[in-house]
Amino acid sequence: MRKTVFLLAGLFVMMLATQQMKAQDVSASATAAANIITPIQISKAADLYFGNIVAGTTPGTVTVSHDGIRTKSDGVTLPTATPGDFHAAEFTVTGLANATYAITLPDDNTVTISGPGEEDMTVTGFTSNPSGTGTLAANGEQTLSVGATLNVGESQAAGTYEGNFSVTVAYN
Amino acid sequence: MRKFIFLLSALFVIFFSTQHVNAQISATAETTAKIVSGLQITKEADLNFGSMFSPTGGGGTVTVDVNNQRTATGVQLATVSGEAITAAQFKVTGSPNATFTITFPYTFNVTNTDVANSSMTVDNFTYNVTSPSTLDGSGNLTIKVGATLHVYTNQALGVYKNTSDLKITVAYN
Repeated sequence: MRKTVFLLAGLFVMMLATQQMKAQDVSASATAAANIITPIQISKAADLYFGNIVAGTTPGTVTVSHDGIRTKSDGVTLPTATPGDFHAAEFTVTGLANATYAITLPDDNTVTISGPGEEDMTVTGFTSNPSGTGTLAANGEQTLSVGATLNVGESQAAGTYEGNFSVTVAYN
Repeated sequence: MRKFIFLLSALFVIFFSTQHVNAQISATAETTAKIVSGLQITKEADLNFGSMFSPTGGGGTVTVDVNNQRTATGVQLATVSGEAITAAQFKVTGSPNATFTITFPYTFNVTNTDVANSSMTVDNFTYNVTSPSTLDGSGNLTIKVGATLHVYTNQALGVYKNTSDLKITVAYN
């Protein structure tokens, strides 16, 4: 009798083990996600103003940095009594929160301003803050400041000179 | 008469002793059981297609492969700092060198979490393994799942997620 019971118990354990392997049918799930986002945009908030400049008998330059600091070199004079209105250009960049974007400023010798004189003046050496790449804030915005250097010719004719330049931004 | 009884008794004694000897014989059998590691699967990474622009004409597809590489046709992609493009990833554990079958997901939709009635289809799943597969010597195997997202013209802005499962089922075979 004992022999029979022992054999039966053995069979039972083997059967149980087989059942356990067949019951292993397990699953796991993952989330799929995608984000459709808004295009990047840029709008002008302020122009680039160089202010009042006295031209000299030799060429010179006037620089307004992206921080709005005005300096000069060589033949020009900056009148301290009547400096005029000078400030850096300012753009507002909007788009996807926290996205990075590339900034493209005008190349040298692509921007001129013209006025009463026969000679146009070139605007070169564009700089910006941020420089090269920007990162939009959590609200999807960033202010982009732009400065440059104005190249004043010798005896540049007096008057108001104006021109345009473009700044390009793109998500990167 | 006495002789006969004696013979009879002797026979009887012999008979009894034979029975006793038969009852002493026994045999043993072995019984074994092997406790095996249960097959388990856990998710390690979600399927993330990342950010892209709403197509202005025609629409297209965005594909993430099993190496987390993203490509697109007819859809402009965006790179957002801190956003990781990933294929779904699952870890399977169980008995070393055991073989198991894998049931792969069916086509499903991701729906806009902000705007109602806007969804995109996810299909064309790709994998780094086939079914059946074999666990390695340590009892592990990683399954990676890539797929293709169908983005339509003027797809509404927002984050899209799936409501039905991107599900992998495994079983020892």
